[in-house]
Amino acid sequence: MTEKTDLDQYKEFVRERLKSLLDVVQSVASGDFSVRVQIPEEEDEFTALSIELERMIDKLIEANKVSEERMARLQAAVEEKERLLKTVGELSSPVIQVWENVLVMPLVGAIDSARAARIMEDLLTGITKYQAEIVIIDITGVPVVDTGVANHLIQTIKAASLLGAKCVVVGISGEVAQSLVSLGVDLSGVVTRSNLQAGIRYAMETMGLEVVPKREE
Amino acid sequence: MTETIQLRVTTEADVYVAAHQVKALARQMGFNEADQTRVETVTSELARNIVLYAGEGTVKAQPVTRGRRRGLEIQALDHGPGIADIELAMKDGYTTSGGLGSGLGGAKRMMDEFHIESAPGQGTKVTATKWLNTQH
Repeated sequence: MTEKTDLDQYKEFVRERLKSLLDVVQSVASGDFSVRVQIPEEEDEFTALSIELERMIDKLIEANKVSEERMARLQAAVEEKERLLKTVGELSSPVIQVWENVLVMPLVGAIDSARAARIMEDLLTGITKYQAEIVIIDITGVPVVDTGVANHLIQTIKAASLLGAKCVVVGISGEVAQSLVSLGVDLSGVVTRSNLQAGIRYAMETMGLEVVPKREE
Repeated sequence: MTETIQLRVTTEADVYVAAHQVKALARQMGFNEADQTRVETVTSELARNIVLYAGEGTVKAQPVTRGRRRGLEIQALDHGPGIADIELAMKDGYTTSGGLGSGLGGAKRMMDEFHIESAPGQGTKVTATKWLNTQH
């Protein structure tokens, strides 16, 4: 009889030790690293297992910390990039008043639909703000002008004319001009000038202004 | 020098990347500035059509030789809705997307050779070649 009781006691003992270890493993598995392993006083395999488990959890905590730091750095880098993109977006379609009622909008870089929408919005806002009569759009810095880009430009020019501003497109290179002709893009309703200087001269003439050399007193 | 460009095109940004890279290849091959701009613009048109009509596809560009001639071949491939009437699609002013409607016809005018293989539901394959003018 006593033998059986001993066995029962032993079973109970094993069950308890296993249960305490299982609790720890379950907590860790669900991501809670705050639990600590109770290291028993007895020196048996359970104790050895508990010590190893403790070491494992410590390593997991360390690894978790490292990956969290890495995530934070990545997050910061992404935020920084988003800020930069926003800045680039703001810089990419500046509207500059060069004379009373005369605006210049230099475009640099590829024009996609999102940028085209932004360009139109910025330009229309600028026209209203400065009561512009003439807008010079400089496309010297636009690498490719295909029908898509040309279409965006034409839409922008149409919208500007609805606000009473006349657009002059300058900076069409010889190569782009040839491509536009081949593409059959009709710019006949659009005033164009070779470069920014010619555009400004056109604006001055239209406004009835003239730049003359200063007369000696 | 047998550089081949192959790019998956799904966004507008891809359109510019493709156009830019094909232009760089054309420059490497010795095309003059005007022809570089032509192949760049054509690549842009074809890639834009992929994004606009098919959603995704591939743009390939590679140097080709035929006899003594050397040229640049651009291929735009997609598995989109395809073109029912190719002749009509090539016509200036015809568009199903509200665009200017002269992209394909214009692209053809800018290249020396231009082929479209397409059928409704079968996708579209455009192959365009520009030969190097060595005699000038």
